[in-house]
Amino acid sequence: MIELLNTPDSDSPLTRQEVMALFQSGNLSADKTVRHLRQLDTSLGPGVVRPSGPSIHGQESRRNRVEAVLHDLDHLVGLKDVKHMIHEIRAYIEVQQKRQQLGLASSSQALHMIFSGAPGTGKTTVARIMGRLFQTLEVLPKGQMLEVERADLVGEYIGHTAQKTRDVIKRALGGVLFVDEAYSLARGGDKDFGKEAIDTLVKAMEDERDQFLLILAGYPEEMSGFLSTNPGLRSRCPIQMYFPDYAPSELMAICRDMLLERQYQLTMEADRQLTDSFIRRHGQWHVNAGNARLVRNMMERAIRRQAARLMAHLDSATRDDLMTLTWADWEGEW
Amino acid sequence: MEALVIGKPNVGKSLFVINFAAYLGTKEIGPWAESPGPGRKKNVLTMEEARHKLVSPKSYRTLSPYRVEIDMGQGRQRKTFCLIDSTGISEGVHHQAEIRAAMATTLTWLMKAHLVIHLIDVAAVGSKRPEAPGPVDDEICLYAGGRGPYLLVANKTDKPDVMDNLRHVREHFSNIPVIAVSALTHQGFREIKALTLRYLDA
Repeated sequence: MIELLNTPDSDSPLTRQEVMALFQSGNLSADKTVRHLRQLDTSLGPGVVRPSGPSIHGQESRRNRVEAVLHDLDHLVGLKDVKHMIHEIRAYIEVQQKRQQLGLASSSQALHMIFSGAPGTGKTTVARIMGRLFQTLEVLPKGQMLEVERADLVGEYIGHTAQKTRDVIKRALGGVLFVDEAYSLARGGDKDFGKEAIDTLVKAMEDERDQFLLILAGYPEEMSGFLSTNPGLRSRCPIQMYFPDYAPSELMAICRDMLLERQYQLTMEADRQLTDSFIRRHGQWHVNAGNARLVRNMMERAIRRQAARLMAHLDSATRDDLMTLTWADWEGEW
Repeated sequence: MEALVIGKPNVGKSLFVINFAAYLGTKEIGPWAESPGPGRKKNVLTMEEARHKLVSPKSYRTLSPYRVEIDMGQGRQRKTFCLIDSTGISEGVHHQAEIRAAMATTLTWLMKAHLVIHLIDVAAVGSKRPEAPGPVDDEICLYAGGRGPYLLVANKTDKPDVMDNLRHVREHFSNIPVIAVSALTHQGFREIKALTLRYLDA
């Protein structure tokens, strides 16, 4: 930090916070600050698309929109295999579309998916990105994303469930149907109406194969129980994505991202201690500790504690104080 | 969606926000960082009060971001967006820490706003006044223009003899359309409204 203060002109890679700190302390002029921010903005760069919206210079091409969606995907921390798989799917779809244009036979592959992973590993986030991706790729005619859960599918009396599920599928035709916590359909035992919903889904998955895309998401163990309830289910979902637990470094990256988004920052000490404790506890978390969600809960607790700490001398607190979380805010039982 | 209005001090950002919001039918403006709650109404200003409080021929009248929720009702599709009035970014390093902190807030917004409306003072082109376009404007234009939806607005076209200056500005920013606007006389608001609507749809 000391060298940086002495040479604010150098193009050394700073973080955004450092740039802002230099600007506030009066060591960096406004135009240089903006220039540094531009250089540090990872969403820019030669050949990279704008994040959203059409440009003033005319409609953006489809490819750019696809790239923008994939850019959001690549911005997620970790999930290497999942990202790889999605890039594969995208390539497959683009190649098939190109083949079709040139008059070659193009196969239509069922793309129904199963997402399994512990709580807080990003299943819902990725599913929403998938919905957008398929919409921009124009595989699905309409590309809407319908997010449903057990309560939306299961009815109140015998025979009601099939009707209700079919209605939901009808609404999802032309887009993505995302069933979150899908295992809950198989939970109630033999007499439960959930099974009826599964059977209806299985039928539709085959009949309306090109018309909609089904994503079933849930926790790994429960999902394997769920898949065994209907013999045809597993084979009809050729794409199964497993969302692994996050490694300590990834949890830390998630934490930094979330803090940046909320305009907080860690002291050096807190950063080091937090990394330490993530590494120490790796592999010893409770199975359902919550991964990224755990990080979020921890962070929210730290923010509350910081607030309590600052309350004592609120009048003299600077902008920096309001943004900084110290190790004392994080410490303790999680 | 958030639309940030940015520019050098005294280019007419606040008047633009207030008049543009009023043009779109909004009646109130409030500070950005206020907590919703029982006391909420207290800090909300009507447009007339806001004009008194936030607009002045002196620099740095707006020292914290102000926002207006704007409802663009078009048929059944109600669209809302949030117009943010910010502290002006001056050239070089400002000597007051308080104002630097306020400018820092503006720059943080610049990093995350969905739409950036960049105001320059077309009447001050070539002059030595603090609101004359300078390197900061070039940098903001490069950054925001590359980041996402971006409108470059030349304000104060109601002043005499601005056509020459407007031509200079258009030559300088040759690859970006410059929208001529007068916040005082509402000239050019129709174009801004149309463009904003287009970005809202995206």
